Amino acid sequence: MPRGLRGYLGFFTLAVQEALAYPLWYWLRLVTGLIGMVVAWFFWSAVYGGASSLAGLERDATLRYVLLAQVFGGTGVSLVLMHTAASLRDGRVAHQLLVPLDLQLSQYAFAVGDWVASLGSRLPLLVALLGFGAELPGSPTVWLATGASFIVGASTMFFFEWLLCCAAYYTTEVWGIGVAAEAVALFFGGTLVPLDFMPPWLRSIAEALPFQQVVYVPASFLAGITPVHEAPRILAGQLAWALGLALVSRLAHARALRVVTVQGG
Amino acid sequence: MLRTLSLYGAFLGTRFRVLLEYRANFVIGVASAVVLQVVSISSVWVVLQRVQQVKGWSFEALLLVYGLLISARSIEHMFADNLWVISHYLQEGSFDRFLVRPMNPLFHLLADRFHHHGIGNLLAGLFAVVHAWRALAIPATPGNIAFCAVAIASGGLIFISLNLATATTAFWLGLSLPVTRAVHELHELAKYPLTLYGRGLRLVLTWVIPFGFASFFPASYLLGREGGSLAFVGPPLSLAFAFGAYQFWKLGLRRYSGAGS
Repeated sequence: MPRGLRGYLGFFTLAVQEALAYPLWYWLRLVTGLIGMVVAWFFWSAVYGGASSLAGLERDATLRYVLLAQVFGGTGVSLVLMHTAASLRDGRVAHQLLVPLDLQLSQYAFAVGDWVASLGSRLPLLVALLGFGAELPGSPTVWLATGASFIVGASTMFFFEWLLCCAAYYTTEVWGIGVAAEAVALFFGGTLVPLDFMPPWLRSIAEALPFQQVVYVPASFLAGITPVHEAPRILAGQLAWALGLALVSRLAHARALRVVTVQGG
Repeated sequence: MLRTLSLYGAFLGTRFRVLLEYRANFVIGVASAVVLQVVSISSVWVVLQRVQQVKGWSFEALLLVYGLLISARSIEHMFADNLWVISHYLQEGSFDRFLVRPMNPLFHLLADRFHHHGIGNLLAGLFAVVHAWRALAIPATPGNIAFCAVAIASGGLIFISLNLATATTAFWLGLSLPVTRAVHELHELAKYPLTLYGRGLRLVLTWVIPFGFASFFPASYLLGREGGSLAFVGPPLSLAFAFGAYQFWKLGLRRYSGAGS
């Protein structure tokens, strides 16, 4: 295996090891996911009441979706924004820039490891989902479309976060920006409400933004809201987003690097 | 009491001088907390555009429940945020400094860090309560306003007591954050009326992890709904929880031994 590739694989492995190092955190992720599922199930059951369909969505499909959104929600976040700001504040950025690997690619490899670990650790929630009476599709094509759209969607969000983290080079503190971006992503990503429920003007804004790709797109395949035959078209759109943002974020980062100040002595 | 208030004022003054050194960051921090709450409220608004009510609760009534809860939560966020990171102090050995000064260690720990993001939550929460109050034409009598203020304060005390009890586990476990987070996360259930849930969950949210007293019961009282009279149990219950949590804290403190030489 080429040396460079081994380096990136090291970042991937490190992320998985970090995520699995503390069993308490593993259980916490499960507990918070389960609480989210309980809230979503009771709330949406009450919303439907006696109705079998709302906003063009069948009751069962919506319940399946909102439960799945709790499984996917928060798993495609890379935290690269917070990590970059922290490394700029404590001077670790100097070491990161000296490593003979591409900074963005190494962070991407780390992020992929984190997604795999966090999604893997949430798999028991799929069993919990069956406990709520929701059924999952048996077709491998649906699962394949879900997996592919999650990885490409999470990559899109990684490059979006990378673009945001360029601000850290100028401000060194990005907590507020991070929370605001997370809030907007929660809403427009479909974690709280299926996009189908939004009024047309709001839905068109959601569709013009990249946030829906990491929760709504994969969860709607699995919930049966988006037919799997639309997967090629949707995946192509997702890839265009990912590549476009990768390019823009690289250019922005190259420019931001010019103002980097290493703290410490 | 006067000395305690004066000391707290001194801690708060120092903290604000530190925070206002980075004014833009201060403003962004407060604003981001508001944005987070607005997003949550917007999601309920989106749903209520499709259905007029959820189990008899209109958007404004749900807004009242939500606003009361995040106002109460903001009190914990502003005044007791250091409980979230107690493990950090224990692990790096810096907890000793709370023990060697001539004041109550818990008071010192809490006074040491006022979290300004709580201001954003309080603003959003109060805005939601005031908006719902007007839309639902709840009489703005001195009695109702005082009731609301006491309900928010006792709700805040419930949040702080639960966080104190769970943070104290750090004296045994070394790491309390996951425990605190797991219990705290249950407040998500109290963002909606408890009548949405089954009997078991309602009992838990009323008597075991009583977040219901920070939102559902006070809202029910203000709206004249069934179960509203139980809201008056909230203040004494919050005091009982605070007393219990403080006794547990003292037990943990006795177990503490420094991290280094």
